[in-house]
Amino acid sequence: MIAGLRKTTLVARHEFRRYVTRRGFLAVVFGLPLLLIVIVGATVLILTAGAGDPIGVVDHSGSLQDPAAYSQTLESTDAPLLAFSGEEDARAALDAEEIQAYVVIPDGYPETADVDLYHLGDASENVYQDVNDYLRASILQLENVPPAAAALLSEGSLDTQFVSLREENGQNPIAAFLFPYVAAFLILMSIFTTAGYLLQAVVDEKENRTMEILVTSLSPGQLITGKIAGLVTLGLVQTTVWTGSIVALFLMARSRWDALQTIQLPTDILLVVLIWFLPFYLMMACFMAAIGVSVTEVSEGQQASSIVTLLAAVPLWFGPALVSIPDSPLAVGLSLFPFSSPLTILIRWSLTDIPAWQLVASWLILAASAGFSLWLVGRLLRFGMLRYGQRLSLRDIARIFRRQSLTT
Amino acid sequence: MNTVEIHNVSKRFGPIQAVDDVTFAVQPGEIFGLLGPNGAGKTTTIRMMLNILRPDTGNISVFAGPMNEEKKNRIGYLPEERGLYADNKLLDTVLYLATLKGMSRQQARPVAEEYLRRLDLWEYRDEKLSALSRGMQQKAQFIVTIIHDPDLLIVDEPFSGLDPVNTELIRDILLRQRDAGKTIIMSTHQMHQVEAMCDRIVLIDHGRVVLRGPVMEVRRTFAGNTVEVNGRGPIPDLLDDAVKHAHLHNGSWRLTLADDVTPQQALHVLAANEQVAIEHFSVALPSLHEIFIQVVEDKEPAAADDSQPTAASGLDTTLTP
Repeated sequence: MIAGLRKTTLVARHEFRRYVTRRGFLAVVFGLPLLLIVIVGATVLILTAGAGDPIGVVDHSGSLQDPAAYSQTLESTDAPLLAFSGEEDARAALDAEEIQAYVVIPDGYPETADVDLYHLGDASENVYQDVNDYLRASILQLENVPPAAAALLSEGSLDTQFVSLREENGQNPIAAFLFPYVAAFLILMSIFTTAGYLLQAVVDEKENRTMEILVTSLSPGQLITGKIAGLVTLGLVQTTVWTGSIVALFLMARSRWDALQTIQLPTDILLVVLIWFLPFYLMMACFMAAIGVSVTEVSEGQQASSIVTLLAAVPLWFGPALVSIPDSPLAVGLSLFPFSSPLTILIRWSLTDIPAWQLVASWLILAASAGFSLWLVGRLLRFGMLRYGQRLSLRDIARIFRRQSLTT
Repeated sequence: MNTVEIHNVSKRFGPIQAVDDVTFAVQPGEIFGLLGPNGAGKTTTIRMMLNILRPDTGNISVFAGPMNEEKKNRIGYLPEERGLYADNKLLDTVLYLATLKGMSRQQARPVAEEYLRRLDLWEYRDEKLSALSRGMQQKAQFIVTIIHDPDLLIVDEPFSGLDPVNTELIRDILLRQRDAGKTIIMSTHQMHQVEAMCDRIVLIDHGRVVLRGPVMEVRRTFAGNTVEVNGRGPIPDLLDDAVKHAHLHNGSWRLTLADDVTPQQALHVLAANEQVAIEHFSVALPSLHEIFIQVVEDKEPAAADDSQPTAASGLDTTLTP
């Protein structure tokens, strides 16, 4: 028993080491975070281009805050506001590139609630937000606002203003929807890469006869369990690097952008990912290995594996339906079907209160499916490992179910 | 105690009877030749020994009992179809497969170094296997087979792809293993190696045992009535009607005697004649190669036990050298 476990561990370690240093794997693992850094960096550059240049204010209403006084409350990275007595002066300053844009507040504002923002096309994306912040701060000062909010506003802290808004609105609904989708995407990506390695490893070892040597050292069950354990660990490393990078990038971005202050990291989603991820990954790895045993070429296996992967992606196809009615029979059905349950549960998690029985049933069905898959692939391996150059037919697989002689 | 015992084992793949009621035993300290033409059922028999396949009927005993996971550490198997991780380094691969046979890496490393040096592979230890020649890969696989000092070695075509020097190296290692009391089952089509190395053989054809026994006894059984004579004088003429066919090759006469003439009678006639000076006289033994071809072409199975090897019926013992 202990010797068998040791051999399984040896296989797992070997498989992990074999792939973890591959250029292709490293490119995928670190490529995605690098790509994200580039995308986020480029976005920051675009959004902050010229962000520090002043914004002109032409206030015909006379009811808003003094721009100069308001600007003193801003952070250094925000564009300061400059007051202009007339539109001609503001336009001249804009043409002279002294300001990046100017806003004209009409007489009667805020009753008219109609503001024009003038720019030359090269203003930063933050101008609209900066102007809005100024207007909101001014309006809140004028109207009857909650005493606590008024007190915070008088301190001039924009952070504090958004704290008050969060108290009113709770979690950002876009973030609540976005995080599960990102997690779902990562899981699928992880499965694509590491389970793909498993498929390739099994096909290669079968066709180059290495498997015949291996099964004279350990049982087919130990062999396939070790392989799956090694590659699932590889997938966990991959997902951890990705998740860590995304969380780190998000935290960095949130510290710079006030707009992200409303978005909280959904730690409960990460927990759901972990609980559903492991049996799901195990099941998918088993199916990939089973396909590897059954086919004769990697390309043939990839075609077959795409069907399994498409099944796993079903919740993404039905994403809009799941979001609009997260408790529909479709949503419940997809939550129980083992191929789709992890992603469906993830998507529904932030949108509705999933009944406990559905959660328990979903996980148990998934775990049972993973266990069955492991058993099945062990049987298939014993049956199919010596069928060099021959694929397993459905009839062969039916024989395995009937527990007939496991021979070729 | 026999290392391997196979009793009445049969195996069918669909319509094909791959192994049909095969029985033989292999003892410690011998090299046992498992012979047969392609598709005869040798590899299937080996796979059943190793529990890769299960027999339909019959019993297989390895180390005095059914095969199990623990016993795998005591067996080294060199399959005919070679296969190692092409993209892995040589030494890493050897050490990994040694650990799967129960060795620690610390135990395996010095043994691996010894064998790699002995087989001139040490300088390639950090090369990927795909970068090695076929012969080098063959030697690497042999090292993997033997590194854990198994009590039972099953080698399928161990010399294929090897030059004469490396063939001699592998042969020497196998003979030393035999002398150390290990059991070796060797399947090969190189009959001269079987003659030189094997103590006993079993010949399987169409899944059935058609010949078995100690190598020399098998050859004697197939010897027929042919003698080889070296010497001076009118050797064939003296024997006259006692010789059906005479052939001179490299200064040696190969004489096929008449059916009612024994080699002893022929020797007596020659020795009694003063015109003849005999330097060498022996009963001509057919090579295993010749026996193999005859038995397989005849296809008639013969039943015999190990002490009484039996030839297939209707054999022509007038063999050409």
